[in-house]
Amino acid sequence: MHFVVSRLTGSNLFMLKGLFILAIGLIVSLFIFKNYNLIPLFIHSIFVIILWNSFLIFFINLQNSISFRILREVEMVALKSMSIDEIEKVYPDLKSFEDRLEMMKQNQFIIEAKSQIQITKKGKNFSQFIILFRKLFGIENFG
Amino acid sequence: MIFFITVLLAYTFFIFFSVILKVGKGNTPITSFNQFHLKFSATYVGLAIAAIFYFELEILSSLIDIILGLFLYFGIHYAIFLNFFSLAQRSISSAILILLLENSGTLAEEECMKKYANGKGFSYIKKSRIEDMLNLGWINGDDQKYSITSKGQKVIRLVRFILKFWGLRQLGK
Repeated sequence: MHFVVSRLTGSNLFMLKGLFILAIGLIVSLFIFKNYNLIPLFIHSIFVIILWNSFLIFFINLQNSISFRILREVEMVALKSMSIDEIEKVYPDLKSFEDRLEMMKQNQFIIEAKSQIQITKKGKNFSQFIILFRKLFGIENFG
Repeated sequence: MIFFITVLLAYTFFIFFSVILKVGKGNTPITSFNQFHLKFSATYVGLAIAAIFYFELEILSSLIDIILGLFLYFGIHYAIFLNFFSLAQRSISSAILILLLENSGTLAEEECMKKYANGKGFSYIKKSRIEDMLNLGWINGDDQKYSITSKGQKVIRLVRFILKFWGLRQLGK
């Protein structure tokens, strides 16, 4: 099901689509196994959620990784090698930054007008959660 | 069910001590977090063995449950919780959002790039990812010339194949 949806709709809203498919799967299985003991069913559902989440994260990392993006550029040239300046030419920091902003706009975390980036309410809530998380675990080195 | 509760208990202890000890404070927060988690898996095994004796369970049949519990213990960590930790520590999007929040919600693109990663600038991302790839043995060399290794070529071909097969596109493409 995920394969068909991905082939038809591509990368947009990947996580949301993935979670939607998971929800459908869990509802259908709960319906099919409704006469079974609920406790093992609940534990099995946790296993399914874990495996499904790993599957989604795997694909998200493949799509969004800057390392893979750089690696691909180096692999594509005939000599299979590049200096840091050449890497900067084929994949400039500005382009990398704008790619990221584009994704954040699609996910409604920011809005952008005349080179000004503005955080949305959704973005604010999300970043406050991340700040709390950083404080809890003492994360000081990031980026 | 006993082992399921044991896993939840062990993982709760792990999170509790991670917070108390501020496990993310070093230079390599994710590595420290994972190492601490691995060490803490002994707590789960210890609790599971204690449960066998306390509830007088049959040792042989409990072994499969303990292994399944161990899978769950690692699954909860690597498939769920670690992603939040990575979002907080390594995610570019999170870092940009926090930067915006710290600057009354609005920033010019250029300024945002400059202030990124505590003022290291957005170019820091590329440097850090190149360093990661050097450590992984996907590339070798220095700033003058980075060459892709055969391991790196295999990795990127596999990535390209999977994405193409699944109809997905890579960042910026």
